[in-house]
Amino acid sequence: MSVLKCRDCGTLYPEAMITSCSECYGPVDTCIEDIDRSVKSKIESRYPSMWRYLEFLPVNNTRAVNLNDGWTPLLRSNKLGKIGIKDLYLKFEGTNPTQSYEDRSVSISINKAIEFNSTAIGCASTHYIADSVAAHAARTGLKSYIFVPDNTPIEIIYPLLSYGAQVLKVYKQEGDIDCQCHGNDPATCTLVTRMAEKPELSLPIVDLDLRTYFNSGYKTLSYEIAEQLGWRSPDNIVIPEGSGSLTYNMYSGFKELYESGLIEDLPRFFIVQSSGCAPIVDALIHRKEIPTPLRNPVTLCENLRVGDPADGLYALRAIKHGGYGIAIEDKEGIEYAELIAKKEGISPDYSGGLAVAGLVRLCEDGKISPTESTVVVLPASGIKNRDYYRSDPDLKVPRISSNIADLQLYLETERTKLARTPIFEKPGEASVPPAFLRT
Amino acid sequence: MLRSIKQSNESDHIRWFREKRVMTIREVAVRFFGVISSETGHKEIKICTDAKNIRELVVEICDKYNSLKKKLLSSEPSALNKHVRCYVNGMDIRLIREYETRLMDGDKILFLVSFQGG
Repeated sequence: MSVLKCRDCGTLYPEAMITSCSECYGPVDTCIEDIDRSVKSKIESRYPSMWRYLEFLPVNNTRAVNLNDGWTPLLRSNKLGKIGIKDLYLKFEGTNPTQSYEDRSVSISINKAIEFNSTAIGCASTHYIADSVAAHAARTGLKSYIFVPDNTPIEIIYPLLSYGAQVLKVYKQEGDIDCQCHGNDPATCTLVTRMAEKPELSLPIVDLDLRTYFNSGYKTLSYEIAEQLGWRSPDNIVIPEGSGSLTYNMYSGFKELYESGLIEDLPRFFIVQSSGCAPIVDALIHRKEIPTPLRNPVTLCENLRVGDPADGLYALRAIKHGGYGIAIEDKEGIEYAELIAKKEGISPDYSGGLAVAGLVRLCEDGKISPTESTVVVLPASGIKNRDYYRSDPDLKVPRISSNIADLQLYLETERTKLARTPIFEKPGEASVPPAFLRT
Repeated sequence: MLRSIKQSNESDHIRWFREKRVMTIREVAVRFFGVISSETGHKEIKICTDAKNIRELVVEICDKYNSLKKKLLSSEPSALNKHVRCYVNGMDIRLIREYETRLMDGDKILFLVSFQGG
């Protein structure tokens, strides 16, 4: 693996830290050398992590940063299947080292940073990427610099500090670019943009300077799904989407497997966006080639809050092969995230709930047939939604005294309630607990 | 004034336009970022222009840097390459009036290749 290729015009480049084609300014991707079906047995003999797909990954040595990223469970849904979908699987990314799918991409980026002799790594993020960069950098001994907006609360900063990351708050000043990508914070966006022109700083940004390699991490989700299904592709994949990168790169991953003869079909891609931030779905509905940026997008799903989805046009191309897109209210996503936790025993973040809510709607609209096999990507663990729980004014925890009669009364009431509750309850249909339990 | 010029001879007509052009000339700072600056050879230039909006400015820049023309413009007339973002005083033109965004004296224009991802 030593060649990079422009996604648009196909110009080839030697391996380097480049992200844009100098001929057409299109994005540059890594491309794999000829791989045939014989690679299957090699892959299957390796340790279960995303590094088992070594032939598909843009790494030159085996000095991989290893936190056992990837090889997350693909769980057949038992109770959500009662929504009416026969063959439903949940790809739960919450078992990654920092509980999100970003571990895959960050792991590859940091590995490449080491190959390029970097001694430090940076990122502009307050959520999934930040946690992952701090953890992976700590594992490798690289110094990590996390640039966050000036108003970032200490609850978000503390976990980063615990990994030994250097967190820098970036304050606004006149002349900042009013950028709607990367967390929509003009100051941090402007800083990392300016950093791109200063290679002498030797501080590559994982999802900008190393973007080309970063994307390969998303492809490992496709490799895993195919292998976990017995080297076949599902009929449909449902993805909660923000920037469009996950959809496009998962599509590329399946395409690589298809071209290598490892799978016989390609899946259809369906994206779900929050209705408060749905520029890709909007472009799909209005038949636009490129999504129009959205100013000040609003959604509780932090990983989906991207007003200017840079890979939006490529996600649209992936969807056009029989897929579709839909926008769902955050409230519905939250309800479904809680439902998945209650019924399946895995707690996804709200974007995962949004994806399942989108799947239900897509089935109701006839876009997905309930008889087809469908995989829903749940990008992270519900633990990432800690901010919302803290601010929920309706969150009530029942109180009891040490008197055993109190506990008995509580348990009796609960058991009576459980006996009346059907196994599957759609969100919003849950019975209201007795008043004394809500105080 | 216009009426009188229409009635006057050709040299007066041209002079009127010249005077008008002088009055509407603006000085703007144009910053080329990253891979774009390698085409222009400059990271920042100051241009005295009579371009009224971004569309006219882009055409003027492409006339000045011929090698940039093929890359900065898309196949659509006077439209930017889909990977190029243009900001006027920090604001993305797609969130203002796109190519019709008016230019004012002292404006700061930035051209950069979009970030892939987020």
